[in-house]
Amino acid sequence: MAARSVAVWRAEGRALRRELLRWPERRAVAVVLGAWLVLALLAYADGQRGPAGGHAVSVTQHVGMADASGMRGQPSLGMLAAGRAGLPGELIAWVLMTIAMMGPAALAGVRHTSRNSLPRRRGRAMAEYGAGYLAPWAIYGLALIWLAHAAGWTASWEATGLALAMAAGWQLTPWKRRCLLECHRSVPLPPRGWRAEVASARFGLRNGASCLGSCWPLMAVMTTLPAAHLWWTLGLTGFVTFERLGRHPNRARRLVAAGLCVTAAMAVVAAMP
Amino acid sequence: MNEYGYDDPDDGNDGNDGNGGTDDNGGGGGNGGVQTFVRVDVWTLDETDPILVSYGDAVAAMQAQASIDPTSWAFQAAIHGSLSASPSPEWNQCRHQSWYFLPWHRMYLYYFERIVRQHVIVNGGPSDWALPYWNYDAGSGRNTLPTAFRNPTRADGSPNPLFVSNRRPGINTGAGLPAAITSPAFAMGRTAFTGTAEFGGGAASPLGQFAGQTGRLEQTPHNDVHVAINGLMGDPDTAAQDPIFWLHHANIDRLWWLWQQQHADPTDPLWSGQSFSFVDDDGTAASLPDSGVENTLAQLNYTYDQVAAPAADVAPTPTDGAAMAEWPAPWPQRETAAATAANPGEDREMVGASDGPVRLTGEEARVQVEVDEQAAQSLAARASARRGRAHLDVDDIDAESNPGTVYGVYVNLPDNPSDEDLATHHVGNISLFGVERARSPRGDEPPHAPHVSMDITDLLDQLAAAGTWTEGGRIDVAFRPIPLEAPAAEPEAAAAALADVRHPDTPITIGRVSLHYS
Repeated sequence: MAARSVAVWRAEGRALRRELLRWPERRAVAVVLGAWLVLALLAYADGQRGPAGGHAVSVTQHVGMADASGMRGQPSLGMLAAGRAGLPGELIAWVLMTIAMMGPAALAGVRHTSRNSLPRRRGRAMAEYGAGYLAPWAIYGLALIWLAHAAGWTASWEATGLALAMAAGWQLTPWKRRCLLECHRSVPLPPRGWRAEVASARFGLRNGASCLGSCWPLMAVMTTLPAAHLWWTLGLTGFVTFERLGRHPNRARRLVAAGLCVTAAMAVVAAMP
Repeated sequence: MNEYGYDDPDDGNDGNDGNGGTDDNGGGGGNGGVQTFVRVDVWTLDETDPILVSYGDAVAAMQAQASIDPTSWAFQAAIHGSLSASPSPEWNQCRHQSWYFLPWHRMYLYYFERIVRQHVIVNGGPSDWALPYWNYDAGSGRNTLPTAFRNPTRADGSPNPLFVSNRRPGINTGAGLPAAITSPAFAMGRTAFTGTAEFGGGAASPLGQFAGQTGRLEQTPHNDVHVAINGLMGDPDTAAQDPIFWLHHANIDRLWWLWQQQHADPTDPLWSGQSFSFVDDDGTAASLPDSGVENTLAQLNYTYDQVAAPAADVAPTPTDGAAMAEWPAPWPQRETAAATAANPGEDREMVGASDGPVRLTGEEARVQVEVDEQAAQSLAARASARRGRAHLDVDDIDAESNPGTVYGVYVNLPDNPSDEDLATHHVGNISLFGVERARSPRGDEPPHAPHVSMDITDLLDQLAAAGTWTEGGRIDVAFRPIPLEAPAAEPEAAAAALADVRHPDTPITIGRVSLHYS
């Protein structure tokens, strides 16, 4: 068994910060931070204009799904979602949220791609990895959006509690464990030519698919939130990142399951009259 | 005892005449009144030496204990690795492919040694018992399995607890481990601890989990000797069940101890503050931080039966054509451009790689690495001079199981090479100890592809000076299996069988070979 002191945790934090700011991966860090900035600005704008007055609105509204009142079309995602921009807007909002939430965890793959590519094609390789990573998430988002429209989902704290409980249960399944381990596997990256382009995208696709298998219920939670989505987005991102970048995936998986149970209880409390 | 305070192997002493007389610098004196234990070279002991006899008795006693007993043989071996489908939380804890490899195993041996010593004392053996080490690189036939471990029975006809039948054919009958496998020269020549091409391995990093961070000592001789002996030793989940495991690791620990005489361990709290838990001799849990095992004498009350390595300036180079086994300590020092950095490998730039994978089945395989002109020129311009260090990486190594073959890695090796060519162009080894666990971890760790990194700067400089390679030119990388040395008395057919290391049914795939400049 291994034990870690506070000093070790601090040192790990410092090492992570050092790594995040290293060229050229910091371009990817900038993209993730940019996604967060846009989410925060939109949440602020929505809060200014929305009926909740001062509260950030739900991501379900961001992706154009139902809001707390069960009505679609409430102010959400600024100019993009809430039906104004239609399906493309909803999809863009979803991808934006995916970049913000999954981006920190995906930085490991971005870093690996960057450092194992020739300097002149590093930027392209990282972009190809990113595109591959986002592809399965975009498909999943489309499916969720379609399902929400078709089933007329209503955002509510009850639904959030249920989704969180389901996510906690998923954490403890062998499929989850397998997917989480798959997130750590790489593919050989040839140095040049079409093989290099395909390999970078394939690596991203493989990582994205395994991360989707690992975290799909967590992201589904985002479609059920009736309010204050930005804080929930932050919290769930913390769970995903902790689990993916931790040195002990099984321990992290169980801790996240416990955290999700607590969060589910919070959602149930919020649902009480 | 000789004038250095250690037992000379040639003085006729059995190496067990009391052990308060050494310190880490080879001087006399004890350790502040606390008993100091001295680990001795197993080849200085004969089969009936009390150290080996009492070790065998302790092994037998521990093997008789129930596996749920934390001080039993099965439990102690399982701390390293276990095939059990329902492992105890204390099992499967070994740390490989990272900079924790050396401190974790030092702690593991320390507590195991205490447990064995308890048994030795109970059985009436020497109260100052300490684990012997197997220095397979000492020449004079010491690259063969120590005789006390080879026979199914002891001299009195009783079963020999130190014997394991499923070791590689030839090992139990005196086949030798080749110098290319046993020499620690590549590791001991490194001045920095941290980094994949450095002595102790790369730092465990949250963002760097896709590839192993194996250090040079962990790869050669550690991994290679495991694979060469094979059987239980060939798999981390069974390795510690073979009694020779502990002598092999005592030797790895000794090499770290020697290296420490001249070099510094990491100061990063990420390394020094990391603690690991084990089982003490009374069966209770005990833990130590890495910083608590850096000085074996002051902190753990043990040392080795030799003086520390002398200064390095008289060392032969490892590429001068001499047989590796003939290289005495000290080993040549290979200064790195960023030896003091936390992780020297971090500043590397990839300048070339092979276009496709390589498949190894026990015969020589070659692959070309084209250096990207633009990348090399850009780096040269940035440095305003020639390139810094050059590292050859063997990436994404994979196999369904460990075929049990060690491969030498050679750069620009001529066709039909002479022994001198092989010595000159040899840059390191790959072997797949732990590949099963890398693919599917049993402990709580992420999977990662085995990966080996070798500093080939000196060789490239030599080749450039000899006019056989020009800066920016293509690099040819050869992988050649390294067979065991047949015993002199071995029949011809048996010797031929030892030399045949083909493994067509368990191929190794190397995803890529890449070149990095720093």
